[in-house]
Amino acid sequence: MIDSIIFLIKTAFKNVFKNWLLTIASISILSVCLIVLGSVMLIVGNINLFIDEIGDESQIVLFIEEDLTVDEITQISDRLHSISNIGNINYKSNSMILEEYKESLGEDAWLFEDLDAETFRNSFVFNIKDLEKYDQTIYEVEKIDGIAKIKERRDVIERIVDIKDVLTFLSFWIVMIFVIISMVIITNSVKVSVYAKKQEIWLMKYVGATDAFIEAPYFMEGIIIGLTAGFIAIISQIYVYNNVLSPILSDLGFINPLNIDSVMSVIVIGFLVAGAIIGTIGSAYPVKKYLNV
Amino acid sequence: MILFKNVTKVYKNGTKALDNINIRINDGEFVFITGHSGAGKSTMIHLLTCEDTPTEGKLVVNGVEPKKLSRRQIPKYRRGIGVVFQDFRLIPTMTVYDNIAFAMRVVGKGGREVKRRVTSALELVGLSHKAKEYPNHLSGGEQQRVALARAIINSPQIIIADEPTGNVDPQMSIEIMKLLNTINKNGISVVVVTHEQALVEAFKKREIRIEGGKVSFDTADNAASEDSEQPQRGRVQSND
Repeated sequence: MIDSIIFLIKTAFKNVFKNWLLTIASISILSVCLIVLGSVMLIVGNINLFIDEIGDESQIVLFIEEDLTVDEITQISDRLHSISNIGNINYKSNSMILEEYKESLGEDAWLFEDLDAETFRNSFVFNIKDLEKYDQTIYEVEKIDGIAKIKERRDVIERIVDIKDVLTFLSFWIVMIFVIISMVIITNSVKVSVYAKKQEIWLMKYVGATDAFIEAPYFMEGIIIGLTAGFIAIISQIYVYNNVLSPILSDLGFINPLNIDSVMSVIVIGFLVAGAIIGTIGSAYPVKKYLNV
Repeated sequence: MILFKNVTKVYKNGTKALDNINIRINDGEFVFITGHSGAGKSTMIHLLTCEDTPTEGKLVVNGVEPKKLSRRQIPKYRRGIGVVFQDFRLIPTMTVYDNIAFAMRVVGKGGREVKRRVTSALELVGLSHKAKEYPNHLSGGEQQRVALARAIINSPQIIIADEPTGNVDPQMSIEIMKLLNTINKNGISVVVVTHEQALVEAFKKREIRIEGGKVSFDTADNAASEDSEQPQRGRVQSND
């Protein structure tokens, strides 16, 4: 059993080195694909972070009716807290709002000196955590008794959600295109190996080697290419992000780039798993189609 | 034992390669299958190695009907048959030793067993001193002896040699045939497909001649008719 495994691994590595030119081409292109894929994901991740920050800043103001008792206001507060998609809930009485206005006016605060706090309405201010569930959350808020008016920025929120959806859609298809390109290249590499070893494969068949035994080195070849490309892509991605992407995003002025260390485990596992999967699927096609065992 | 019973093979293009063939080759027998090219000899080999199946009739090899085997069972079936080809089919990038060991390694054998049996097979074919050579440094006869060693390395019950002397000189042809004879004396059935009538006559073994996909001549039938008291061997009768 161990002898067989050693023989298969040896054969797989021999295949990889024998077609070294095509192997280098496969590893290079798959590495580039993974780096592009990783870069797109990191850019989308940064934009998502930015969108979340905007979401946090776009507060919703809930004006309550004027004649409510303290108990009724407490009840509204409790209802708001019971809605899971709402965060940063703050109660602002009309006198607190007046003070905020005065503060914002600075030296001109005297303009509001004679203004009665009753001019303003008591209100709650809060954020929506998940903007995708915006409508559903607002609907739940509207059902609470004692609410006079909800001041929301539906248009802004909808635009943010649209941008997020477009980015997700684009990144998905960019990733898919690159995955397909990588698979085609690995398929060709393994196909060449299969052709180069046509006589050996034929002999293996004649002496009674099982299908799995004949196919295994070619699957391994795909996995070796995939894992090597994944490993190279991890190192390159760190360099590209820290020296190219992060400075560009930072220069835009409104994005505070995330630290790559915070997503390092995702990048390492993601690239190695993606490389192995793309390698396996890429080699599966020629193994099944051209091996004809 | 190999049994062709009313076997017919018609290819997709309509060519009838074998036409109601009836042959029995007993365990340990040495048989020549002769005939001109296109007679149907290669089709017989393809049926025996399970590369193809009969259109009609029944083929039984070592008690197994290849037609009924599932895809997963075919490798095990093939381990019972060693095949030798006219063009040797050695892997040029492997040494003589590795060419023979390869046949064992790909069926999951390894370690000392490989070394022991390859060494013994090389001794049998008289090529121990060439173990580290590459096939292109060997003569045609030596290459065919390596191919023979590879064919017997997994201890098959049957050896099928397809024109084994086609690419070697007459002197080496005799050596190859003697080797096959030695292998046969160890209890392995040997089926030699050839069109070299001189070789057949020199070795005085059973000959089955195929012409136009039919058995035109079988020395076993002649022997049976000459001595009717002997139990019939060889060709299967239609009422068998």
